[in-house]
Amino acid sequence: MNINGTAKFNESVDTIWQALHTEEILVSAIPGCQSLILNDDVEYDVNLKLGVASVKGEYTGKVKIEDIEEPVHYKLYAAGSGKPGFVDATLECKIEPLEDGCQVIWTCEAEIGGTIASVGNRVIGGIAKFLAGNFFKDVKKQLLTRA
Amino acid sequence: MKKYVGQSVKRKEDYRLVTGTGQFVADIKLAGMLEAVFVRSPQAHAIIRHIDTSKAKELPGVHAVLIGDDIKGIINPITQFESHSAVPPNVAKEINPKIQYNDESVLAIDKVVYVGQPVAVVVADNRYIAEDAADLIKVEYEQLKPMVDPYEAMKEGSPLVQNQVEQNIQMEFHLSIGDAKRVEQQSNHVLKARVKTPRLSSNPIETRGVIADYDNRTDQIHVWSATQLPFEVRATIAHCLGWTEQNIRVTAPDVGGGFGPKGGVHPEEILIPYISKRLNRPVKWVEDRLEHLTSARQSRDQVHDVIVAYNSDGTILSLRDEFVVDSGAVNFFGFTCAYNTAYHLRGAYKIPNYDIKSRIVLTNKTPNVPFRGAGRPEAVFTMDRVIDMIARKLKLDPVEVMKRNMIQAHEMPYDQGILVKDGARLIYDSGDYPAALNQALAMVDYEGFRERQKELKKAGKNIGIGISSYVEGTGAGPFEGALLSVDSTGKVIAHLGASPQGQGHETVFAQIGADALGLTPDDIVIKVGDTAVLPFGAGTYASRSAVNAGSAMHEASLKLRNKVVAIAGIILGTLPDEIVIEEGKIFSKENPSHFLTLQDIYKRSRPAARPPLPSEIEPGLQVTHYFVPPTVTFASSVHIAEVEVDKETGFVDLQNYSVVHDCGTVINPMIVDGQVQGGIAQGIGSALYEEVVYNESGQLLTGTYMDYLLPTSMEIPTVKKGHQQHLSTRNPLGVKGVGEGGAISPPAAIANAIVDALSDLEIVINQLPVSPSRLRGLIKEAEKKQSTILSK
Repeated sequence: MNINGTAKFNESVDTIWQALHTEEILVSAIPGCQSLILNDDVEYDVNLKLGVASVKGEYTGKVKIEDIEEPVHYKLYAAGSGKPGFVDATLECKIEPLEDGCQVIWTCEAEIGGTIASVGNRVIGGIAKFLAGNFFKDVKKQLLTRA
Repeated sequence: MKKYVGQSVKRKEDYRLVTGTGQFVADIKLAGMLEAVFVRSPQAHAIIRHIDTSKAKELPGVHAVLIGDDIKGIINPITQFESHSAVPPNVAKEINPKIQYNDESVLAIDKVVYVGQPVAVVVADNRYIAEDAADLIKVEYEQLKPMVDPYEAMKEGSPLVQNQVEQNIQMEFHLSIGDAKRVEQQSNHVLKARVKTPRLSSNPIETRGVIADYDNRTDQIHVWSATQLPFEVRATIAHCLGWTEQNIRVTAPDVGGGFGPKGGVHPEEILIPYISKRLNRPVKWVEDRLEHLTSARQSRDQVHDVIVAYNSDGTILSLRDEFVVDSGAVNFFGFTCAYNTAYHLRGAYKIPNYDIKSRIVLTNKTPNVPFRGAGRPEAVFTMDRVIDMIARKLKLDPVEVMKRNMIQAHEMPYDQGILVKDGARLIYDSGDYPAALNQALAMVDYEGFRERQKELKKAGKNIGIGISSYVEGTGAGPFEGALLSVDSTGKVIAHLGASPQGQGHETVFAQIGADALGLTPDDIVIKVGDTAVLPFGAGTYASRSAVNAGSAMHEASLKLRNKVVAIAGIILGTLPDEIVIEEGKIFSKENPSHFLTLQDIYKRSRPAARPPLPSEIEPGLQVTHYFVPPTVTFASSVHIAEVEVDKETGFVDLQNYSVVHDCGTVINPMIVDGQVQGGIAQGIGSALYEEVVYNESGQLLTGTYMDYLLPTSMEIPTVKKGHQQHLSTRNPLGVKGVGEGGAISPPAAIANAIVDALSDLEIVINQLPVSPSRLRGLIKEAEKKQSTILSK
């Protein structure tokens, strides 16, 4: 499964980079995120509660950040599994300056397996895109309330 | 005397079934019963690195958590079912099979080989706790490259699904008569095609389920399973667990459909008894629908590459076929489906030069087993598409090509020159295929349809008609038994080894017994689905119960009658030959008003009855008969589908469906009609809707009924039925099997009808199901091709 998108922000590249690497912001912005604990500099333990179609469940896994070119590019590897199955995803984010802020251009390649694949396959692309949209909206909202 | 055989006697089992008082596995509750939940693999092919069960074990209410390591060396894996897989020596000589051992551990050990494979089992006070505990089990996998495409799997150096199965080819064989290659070289007309049938799921209304109750005092275990084969379940439990077979009792209570996959013993049927003994508690597991679509055995999935040589008049001179069966991760049934395909492919046709190669390949998918038709729908789809393609190439009506090649009535019994799976010569015993075709053509007013088709074409409507025929070996052995006794109330109790999943055994066997014994069906109580009473039994599959168990019932009833009239003769002071039994009254021909009942005979037959019976008559009224058929008996059928195709949407409207079939003596016309209608419903499903889909990672994409489309009553027309009764020569009742037949021909008939409706586009449909998107694609492609030709 491949999905991609662009999110625009009024803030500067540096602010967005910072926001996308701040644990508290991420915990509340990542859909269903229960906890996000930094293991070392680039690896988090993550716990998610998510429902896809009729398949609801908890996933635990690891998120690793690589290819960091602060503040414009990074790659995020996420691997998680739970009763509903597993997700292995690679998310690539590029942050580009715009006249009145910046934009995050992201592409995501994900492999899903188990019940989420057999039950959710039809809808998962749409749901993933929707969730990604929500994530960036939430980051935006949090930046506003913080400011 | 036939009084009840041939009558649409109402089904004895229906009262309890339609009033909701049937008892299925899920309905059974035992005191102190625990419930099990399975953790299944989300990976198609992966090494199990680590399993953490600690949190699950700590959860209050959990009694046991088992993983592969816990059963290593303790529970033997499930291997090929020898009762179905053994190749008779003379068949082996003819087909030169190469077989590689394969098996499945009941819980995955070291690696997983398909999505849905059981990895762990949790047993708890109830299902809720067990499900929660299953959630707490963490399994770490290391992915291996999944084998999804069987052709990829066969390549040298491809990753192996089972380490000992080289090139993932579990079995291969080659069957050949005549010289097909030479004929091809000399022929002006040679057709080549690739024909594919999809992987299917059987979808019984009741999912699987198992309960086991171990008794410490007697060391006996009682297992209830939603199975077609209680005796095979018993034998497999004994094999896997090393238990004494006679200490295992398997009961198949009411079972809601089986269609084949409930005839393959699954891992759960081994583990639940094992845990019950370990915990000394009754344990229950009922499969949910998601598990059913993922983990219950699947079926079909063949790819045929055919080369056919024929004359300009449509006579087929030779047929060569190399086909691959994608069996998923394990093949439990040996050459059952593949050889069924090989020996059924020519059907009602005479093809003297015939060469067929089969390879059964393992892939990382749910294992395959036989399903209604078991290799025959694939054969018939291939053969009848070939007939239709030849007709269109020669611009002949398909009916003409069918007739040109059909075996004629005067040629019966007809020897096809090869062997049946059981080692007997493949000789069609009785039937009249051209007459069946003519009767079916008359039923649908074939000429009239052709007229109407032309008229409607002018109005832009595309209707089409398609025909398929089959000859089906039914009533496969090896045997089935009946044990009859009379009790103190004068009722006849009949125990049979064949257990039903809705076919109406309790009714039809009572009809057979009633005629042989001079009773009414109400006087006979049929007991089925239990290994406790008969020492031997096989089960219900392969359209075999009426033939095998029916014949056993008939012969056992005659044995019982002999004993009854012998005793009645002594009581009445006449010769046994003079005794008549009618509607339960037993009397001398000379004096009908003075009659006895079975109760009187029972009393006189008891040990120590006064006055005693002559010493040559053993006390008691109990007889057993095992019927062993000489080989299969050949049922046959012609199916005709009428469709209208919407070119814009690719949607197929199935307007009429007609059948003429021969199942020999019809025991109960209502039940036979129901079997035919139901079989055709499943056949229509595989023609137009059903397909199990795996993606390139071996992930199942059709895990719900939103994705795996089933026909409903809205899509199934009431089938017009015509009957032939060419009695079987291979059993005393003259019956042939009918259970599977309906499902065999619809894919071919419907595909041919769609091709016919779009004849001006010259499309070729050699892949199922014919979904709107697939058909729309073919239409678009054909239209494009035509417009390029026109513009040139």
